Amino acid sequence: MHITTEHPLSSFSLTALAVLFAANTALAEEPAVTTEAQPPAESQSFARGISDVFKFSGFGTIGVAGSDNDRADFISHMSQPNGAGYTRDWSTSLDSRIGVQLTYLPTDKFSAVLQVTAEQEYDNSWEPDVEWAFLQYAFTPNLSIRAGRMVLPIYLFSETRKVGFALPWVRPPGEFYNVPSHTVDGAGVLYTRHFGDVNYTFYGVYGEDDSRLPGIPSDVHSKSREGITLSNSFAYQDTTFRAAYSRVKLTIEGLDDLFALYRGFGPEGEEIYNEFSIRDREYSQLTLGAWHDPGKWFVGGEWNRGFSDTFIQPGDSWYITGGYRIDKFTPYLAYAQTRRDHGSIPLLSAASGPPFVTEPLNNLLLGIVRPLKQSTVTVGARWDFAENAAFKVQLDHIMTEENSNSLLYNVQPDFDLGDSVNVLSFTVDFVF
Amino acid sequence: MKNLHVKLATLGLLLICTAVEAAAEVVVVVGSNSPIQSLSRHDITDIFLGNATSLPNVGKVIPLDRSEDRIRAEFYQDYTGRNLPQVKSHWAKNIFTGRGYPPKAVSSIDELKEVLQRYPNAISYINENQADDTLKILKLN
Repeated sequence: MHITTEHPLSSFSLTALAVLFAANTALAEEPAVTTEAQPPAESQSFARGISDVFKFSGFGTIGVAGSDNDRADFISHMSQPNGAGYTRDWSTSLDSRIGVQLTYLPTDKFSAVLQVTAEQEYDNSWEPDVEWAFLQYAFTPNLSIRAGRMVLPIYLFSETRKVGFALPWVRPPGEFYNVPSHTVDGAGVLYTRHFGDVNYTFYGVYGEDDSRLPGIPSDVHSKSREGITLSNSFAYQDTTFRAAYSRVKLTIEGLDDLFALYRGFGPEGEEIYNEFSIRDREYSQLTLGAWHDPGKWFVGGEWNRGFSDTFIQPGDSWYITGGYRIDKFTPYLAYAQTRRDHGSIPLLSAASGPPFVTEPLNNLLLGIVRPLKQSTVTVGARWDFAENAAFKVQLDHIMTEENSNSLLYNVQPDFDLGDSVNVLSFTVDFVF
Repeated sequence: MKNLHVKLATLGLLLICTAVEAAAEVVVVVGSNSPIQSLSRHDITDIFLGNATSLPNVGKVIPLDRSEDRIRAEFYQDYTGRNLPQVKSHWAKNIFTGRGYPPKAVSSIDELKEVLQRYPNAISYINENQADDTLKILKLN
């Protein structure tokens, strides 16, 4: 359960980046493509100018979203401590963010990327986070390795989740994307190959992560270790199929202490701890996706199954979406749902302690680990009013279910599970 | 009176030229000395959207874009089926995941011809009526 990365970036990647940026500036003084320089002997690539060696780019979103239900907060990702609905009617923090990226490309084979984003954090601050910071080396145009911080390629839009301009919607479907795991410090391999007309891409990443999540009474420290993500995509003309597997060992300190409380209540308590502990416990997921975009319209969807050795509910999530382009306008629809369930939940009986102790403990446990069920119908439109900017308006109708948790946050006692919430969002996404 | 005829004729010619210019098809070109003979529409899409940097039987191919919006829009619509905002959105996805940058662009026909002459594996596009013998128009297969 994480999302917000802690600030001390693995010192290895930052130091390496700094050294490389400084040491290789001299290489940048090669002639640009338009000068009268002699052609390179092998004619393999254009000569590089300074603007090709260092590239500065950025993206951002200015958004406002409002909810019609004041008994729970709608949030756009798990690291947000509050959102629209309960805390305030309209939130400008849900979708607003800014990101800047410096890319260093001294040769065809070597590159370095540093991307920093600022958005609403677990502690309500807008402190910048290092989102990407990696060095890449291409042995061949088809085989590269990466080391540093990378965003995990678990789902189709995982890596571009924050780049609103590159997304068809205001934000990726929450039932699918509002989940743990985000970045990793480690190493990765990228391999591409053509099989006839099919472009195959393999991307594997291994590493670990430390993050903070908002929690009650205070934020919690989430650690993921031995995280491995393997993604395979097959692109044929306008269609892409994707299959990914991801596995991680999770620890959430504060939350595990809570489950450890139950160990004081005999064998039943021990069973509860074993079932839901979040200390070095495995969570894995299998994801399949397909996307078809011939230009005039698009349709796509993803399906995910989670397997859990901890309190996170195992189960399935999926979404389907489509849109039709009319010049600069792209109206779209989406439906998403998540159904995650532990099945029967072990509880403390009268044998383990007096009811005035076991009942609150049982209720606390049920509150955390009961099924997670939610579905959303989304309707919206994108207007590409400029080459670098798009305006979107989106209406989400979010349905919760009885006796189940939802992805809403700060849910008040008078919120009736089974109620629905309508969220209206307006965003301007831009790139530069 | 004669002067007026000349003026009208010139005007007529200009109008025809403009019409031809507008109706001229966008063709995909390489330098006259390039080994590349023909490509499929799908190959062209892959190269210009950065999905492929080399092609079987052809080797490395370097796309060269045009900075004028009009021909760029026409080229991407005709050959990739995408309008400029879609192309821009596609590149945003690649840039911010460290997967590459859009092709370099040239701002004049002379520059285009010069670069294609110098780099036999470079590929670009032009209005058919602006192509000359320094360029080779690729067949679509």
